[in-house]
Amino acid sequence: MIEVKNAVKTFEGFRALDGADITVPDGGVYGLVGPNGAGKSTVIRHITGIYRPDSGEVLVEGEPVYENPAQKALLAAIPDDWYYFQSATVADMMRFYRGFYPAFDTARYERFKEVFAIPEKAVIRRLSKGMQKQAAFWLTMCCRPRYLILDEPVDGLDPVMRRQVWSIMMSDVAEHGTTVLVSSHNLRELEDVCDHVGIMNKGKVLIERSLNDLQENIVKLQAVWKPGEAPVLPKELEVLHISHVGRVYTYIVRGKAAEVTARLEPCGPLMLEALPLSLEEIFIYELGGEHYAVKEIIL
Amino acid sequence: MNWEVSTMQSKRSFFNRTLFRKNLTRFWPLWGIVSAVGSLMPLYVLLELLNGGGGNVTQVQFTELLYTVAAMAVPAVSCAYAILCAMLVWSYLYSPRSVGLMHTLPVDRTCLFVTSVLSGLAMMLIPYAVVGALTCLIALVFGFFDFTAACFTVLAVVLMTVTFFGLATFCAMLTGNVFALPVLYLLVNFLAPLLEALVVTLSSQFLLGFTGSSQGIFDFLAPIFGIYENISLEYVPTRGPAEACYLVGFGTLFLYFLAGLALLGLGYLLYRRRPSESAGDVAAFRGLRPVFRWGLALLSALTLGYLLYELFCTPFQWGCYANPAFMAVCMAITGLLGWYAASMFLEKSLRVFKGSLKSAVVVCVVMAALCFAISADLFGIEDRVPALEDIQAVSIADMDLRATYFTEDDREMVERIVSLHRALLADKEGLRREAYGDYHCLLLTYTLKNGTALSRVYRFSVQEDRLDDPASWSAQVAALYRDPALAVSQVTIPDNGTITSIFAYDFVNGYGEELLESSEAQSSSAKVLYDAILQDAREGNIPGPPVFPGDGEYPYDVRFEIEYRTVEERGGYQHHYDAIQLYPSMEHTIGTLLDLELVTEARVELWNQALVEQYGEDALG
Repeated sequence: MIEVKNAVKTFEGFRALDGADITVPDGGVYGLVGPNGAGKSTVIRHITGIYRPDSGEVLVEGEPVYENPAQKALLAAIPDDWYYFQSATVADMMRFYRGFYPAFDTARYERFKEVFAIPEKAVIRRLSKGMQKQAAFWLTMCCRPRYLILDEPVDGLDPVMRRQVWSIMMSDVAEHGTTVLVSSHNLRELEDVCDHVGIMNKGKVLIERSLNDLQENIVKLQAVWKPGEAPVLPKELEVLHISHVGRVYTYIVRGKAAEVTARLEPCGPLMLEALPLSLEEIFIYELGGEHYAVKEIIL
Repeated sequence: MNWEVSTMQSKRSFFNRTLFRKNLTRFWPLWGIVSAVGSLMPLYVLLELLNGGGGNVTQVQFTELLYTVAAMAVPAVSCAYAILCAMLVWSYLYSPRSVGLMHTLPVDRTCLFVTSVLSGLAMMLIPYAVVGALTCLIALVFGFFDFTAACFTVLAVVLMTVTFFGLATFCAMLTGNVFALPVLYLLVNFLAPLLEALVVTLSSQFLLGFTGSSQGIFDFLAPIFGIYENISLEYVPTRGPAEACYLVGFGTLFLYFLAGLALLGLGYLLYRRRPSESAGDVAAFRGLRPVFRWGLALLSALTLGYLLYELFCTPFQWGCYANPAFMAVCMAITGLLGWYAASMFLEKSLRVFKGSLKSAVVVCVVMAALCFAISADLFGIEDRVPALEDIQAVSIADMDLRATYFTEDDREMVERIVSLHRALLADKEGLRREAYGDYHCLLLTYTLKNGTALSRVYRFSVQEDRLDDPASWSAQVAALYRDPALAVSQVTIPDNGTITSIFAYDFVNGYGEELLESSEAQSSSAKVLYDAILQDAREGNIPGPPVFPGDGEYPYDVRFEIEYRTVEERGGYQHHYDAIQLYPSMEHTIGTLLDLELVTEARVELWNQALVEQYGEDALG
């Protein structure tokens, strides 16, 4: 389990992490989402042992990860800007990784030659961005990490390779119990793979739940009211957003679908339907309360 | 897969072979090129041997070659090469991407530090090893290999390598910017002598008599200076036909080596605390930011402030001394410039002016206060005259008087010089405003018993109307310059000295005609001639320097060059050279030249004619 407890990190007066709390359970895929500058990459750099928190704790399996080679050996990471040596080939970098990661799987490296169609002797610097990303996955997956930390991992990969990469990672999760912590803005993709989601904003984790819980605790309702009748909703409902087109009203309400529907029924809508929310919609409406709502701009 | 087995770290590691190998293979162009360039030396030696035949080269010459390289080339090469190696092995600290990779790896910083240091040292030593091995191989083949000399050379190289790489590593830990690193290294290498030189130069603009030449008190803080000052070759005569050659100064090298180790230790402690996010920043630690700001402000004030004053303010100064108010303004302006430049580097932005008014005022006040503090002579530098009992020797020099030494054995002369010094200081304000002209430029240099030296320079013209007052500095200067003791001191060889050669040249015909060439120390002609010169000096036949313009005698165009050597306290010899002009009044010398038949009466007459043609009848007195 990865735990970040009340972590604070300040860069020249800017509080990049402001008491962040994250718990990544073992054997699943944890999606870390948030707007730009929320602190996702900073928290990942703490988890990978690059940064030391000003205060708070960053633990991997109960032990601090900073300056702890034993805990760092359990991790492998692909940052958003993966580093490779200037004139290194994939084979060079493989030898480099092999020298550091005790669990490096050379047989897997050989097998992956067929998956990632990258010439082993090609200088990485000369490869396209997508191929460099593939090289990063190739090498990182061969480290056989217990915890795989990914920051914007599939940017630049084509759809086929994205699916291929996710397939490898999901099979590692299923077969070896690998834990994946992934930070991404591609919420549709995360929705397909994540069991848990943490939403960050301004250096804090606002919500951290399983995806099911998250989706069950917020509901989108579509209601049609009688002409000329102003819809008055029960006060106890926590309505996050209202919009309407003609007589068709859309409500985003916090709560379970059945309970919210039951409370609205007495108001006498002509039609009332509860719809599931996508992760993207949850992200948008949850952050709306943090003054991060989509602004309707007319130019 | 069993995770517990495959990922468990069995023990703490201080060295990573993969990183070491990677560093050497990644950066091979540097050590490869340096090795190739260095190999030109043994190649040159080989070609020389093949052309000239190896039979002429002795083991002593091979030893001398090794030691010369160790004493002359290795310090400079190591100093420059160390920073290049440090820039490469620590390059990962200067980019957020690379530091991200290295600090994610499952090794701790101790392991990274030790491995990087060993990589850097290996990169430094490989070229030396290549060059040394080739040289030794050639020596072995040609049969003049000296195992002891090779060992001492290797020891010297290792000591200097650790010294300079330790310093470079320490600097590498202070900054997060790869371009700032060589600048910082250069600055740290020469900071102490540089600051001393700047403060002394500035002080000399205000303080009467202050020479503006650094004493080199802090040179030991600059390893390259300290090493060059203390490492040398020493030749000791042996029973055989050749001298034995030794490399001396290992004590100094060892001290610098210890300092290098200490800096490596300090670098390690800094690395442990170094925040990874400082990659790209000029200062790697927040605490260094004010040091950088104030340091740059001070250097800017001392260098650019002085330059600004020289460019625009010299018309407003008193005599040849600076006006403190104008200098303070210049230093405040340029100090502020340095302060803002440092801020721009630190913030990586040009927008550093907002909200900085209070700091700007503080910087200006501090820089101006520094200027006034120096000009106010808080430490009483102007009035410092050494006590007689502290003086080991004193030398006196002027435009027409080459440096003449008096030791504590010449107590009377030392007292007279000190008395003259005090008399000059009693008239400070007049001398400061150059109210007495500047015909003389008197340089007094005291060598003190505590090993330090004190130099003062005064510009003046002797005042004729004060010659009657024996206490006046004018009368004391005149008496001193006319005293035969000056000439005696100039021509006397010290007790521990031995004349190695005397040459006499006659330039009357427009070219240097050699009258006497004696490279034999015990040559009877040379000895007789030297005794004659000494007798003339004692009898006052060698005139002193002119007291007034046009004062004094005119010399013949004949010069004696005396070379002698003295035995140094720590062993070895120091060679000296004196040049003495021949004057018509030097009757003993001229007589000896005639007796030895080195010249004829006709030649002396020719000299007289030349003197009369050039200066008139009065030239012969």
